[in-house]
Amino acid sequence: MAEETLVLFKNIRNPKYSKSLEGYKKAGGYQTLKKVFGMKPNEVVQTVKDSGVRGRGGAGFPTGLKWSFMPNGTGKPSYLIANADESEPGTCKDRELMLKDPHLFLEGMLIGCYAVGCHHGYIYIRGEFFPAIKSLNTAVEELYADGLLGPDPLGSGFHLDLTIHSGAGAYICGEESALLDSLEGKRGQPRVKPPFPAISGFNGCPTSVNNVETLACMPFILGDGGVEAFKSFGPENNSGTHLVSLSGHVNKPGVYELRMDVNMKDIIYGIGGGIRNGKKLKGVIPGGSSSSVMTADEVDVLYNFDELANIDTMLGSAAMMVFDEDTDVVQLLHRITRFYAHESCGQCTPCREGTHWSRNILRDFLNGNGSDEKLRRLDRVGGNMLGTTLCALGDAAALPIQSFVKKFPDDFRKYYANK
Amino acid sequence: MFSKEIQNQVNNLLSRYPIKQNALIPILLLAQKENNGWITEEWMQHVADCCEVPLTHVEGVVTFYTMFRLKPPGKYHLQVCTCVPCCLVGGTEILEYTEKKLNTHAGYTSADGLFSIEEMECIGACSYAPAMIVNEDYHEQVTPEKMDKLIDKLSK
Ligand SMILES: Cc1cc2nc3c(=O)[nH]c(=O)nc-3n(C[C@H](O)[C@H](O)[C@H](O)COP(=O)(O)O)c2cc1C
Ligand code: SF4
Ligand code: FES
Repeated sequence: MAEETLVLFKNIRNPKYSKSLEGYKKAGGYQTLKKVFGMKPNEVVQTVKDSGVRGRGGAGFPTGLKWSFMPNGTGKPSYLIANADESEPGTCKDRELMLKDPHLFLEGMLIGCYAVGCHHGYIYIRGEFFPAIKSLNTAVEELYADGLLGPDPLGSGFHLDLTIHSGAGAYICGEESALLDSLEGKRGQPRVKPPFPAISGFNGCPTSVNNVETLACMPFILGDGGVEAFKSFGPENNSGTHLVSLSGHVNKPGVYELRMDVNMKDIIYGIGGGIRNGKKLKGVIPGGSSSSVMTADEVDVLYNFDELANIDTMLGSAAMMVFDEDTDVVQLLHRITRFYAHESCGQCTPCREGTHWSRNILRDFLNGNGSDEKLRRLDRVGGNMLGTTLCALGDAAALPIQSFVKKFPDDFRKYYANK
Repeated sequence: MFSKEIQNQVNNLLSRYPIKQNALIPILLLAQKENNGWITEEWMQHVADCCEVPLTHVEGVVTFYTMFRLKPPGKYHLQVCTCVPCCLVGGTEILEYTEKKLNTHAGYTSADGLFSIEEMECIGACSYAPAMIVNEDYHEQVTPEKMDKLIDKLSK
């Protein structure tokens, strides 16, 4: 049976652990940073490349490669921004790290700042996360008091400041270019790319945006664990452990740290304790609300980037939402489309219009006004959003629609069959 | 308009960014807290002056983000999540239960001014659903019984 593999949660799962700076140091914390300060920044970037770690924020882009895009000698400051916006429905793992072991993430952030030559890093955290903001504030104050932040951390001479920046409620600000506009003090609307943030990011300067969990992997990769151990936790191209946010109709929902070669069935029936009330599984939304839905017949696969891409869905932010046989998928999809209609920033016509239309069509179904023609229209509205918009929210709204219609057609027909 | 203590926090925030405008959202959040949970035109002007941006820019920002409120909330602001994972395990029913109990609706405040309700998109606590935020605290695995207890406690 599958069980947790503890790398990021090593401290958190230790009942005696204290998350203070003292407690973290006692557990070996900030030793990796010390080692990293003895390396050249490009050696750090190369090590991260070698580890194969891919971004945990949703897109799965290789972090080492992203860092290698950061230009040198532009005469402008470089920035590293931690993406702590965590707003993808189903996802609640970064919060866990920030609440329960803030220094693990912060050490990773400091390592990242050194690697990309950033002397002032920002943590963009969603505004509703008050308890996590408090936890981070305390931890950052500890770092300044200790000298790990400021003019000369660990005698490195690498001046480093860190600022926690609170957002104010907008899912779209998790998208990295919208995040940058928001950080600059504007409405958070995605930018036209290129230029990418590495060339023109925060205030027009070279910037790398990295997810909290991605950064939290750094102390292991560059420290005691090392590249080979990190790679050994999953198949080729899917290295490391990852934090899985398990929710919905399982007996034991929770955030679990798993290797990348664990079968989804084992996650649902082993780790998750099976379906509540002895019900049968109907389906799973595997990687945040933006991913294509899977039926119960499809879950015999490894839960990682490539396996899920192979079956036309995605790992995304590793948020698994499990639903049982009694679930009304039309209602479920209606709730998902309501989310996107609420969160579309309105810049692109297909997304602005499509998210509202799809929600309205689904409302018609729920009100007893569904039809074959409307089902086809729903699918078409989804198709029109795919690949036609400035940012990935358009795709994110389209994929659930198209996959639900394709995989559960009878559930939609039930709504109007007897008329 | 800021108290001396908050003004210090504002100055500290301004010093953390290369450009004053960058500090706009965190300062607006401080202003909203200072003004008991909502923002007025007067406060917007004040923050605009702090950050050296036009008032119209501040208005554009305030209307974009859901955390900024243009009318006063209740003393206790209940933010009930009904997004996908919460919805799967009874979040919608919790919202309906709360609306009935307080005899008001999401978007409104109870007659005694004590409670306002807001329906939320995912608040990032999905594995502990159904979830809600009351002022600055998270409440998880909420049940009608827990809601009763909480409201009784806060009503006293
Ligand atoms: C609509 C939308 C919302 C997103 N929300 C988040 C988020 O809440 N947190 C996050 O880390 N990444 C989010 N992303 C992904 C970011 O754009 C970006 O890829 C990520 O922060 C990069 O970090 P990583 O490479 O470490 O994953 C979102 C993307 C889109 C299109
Ligand atoms: S796809 Fe939607 S959210 Fe993204 S920029 Fe266009 S309108 Fe805004
Ligand atoms: S859906 Fe309610 S906390 Fe995520």
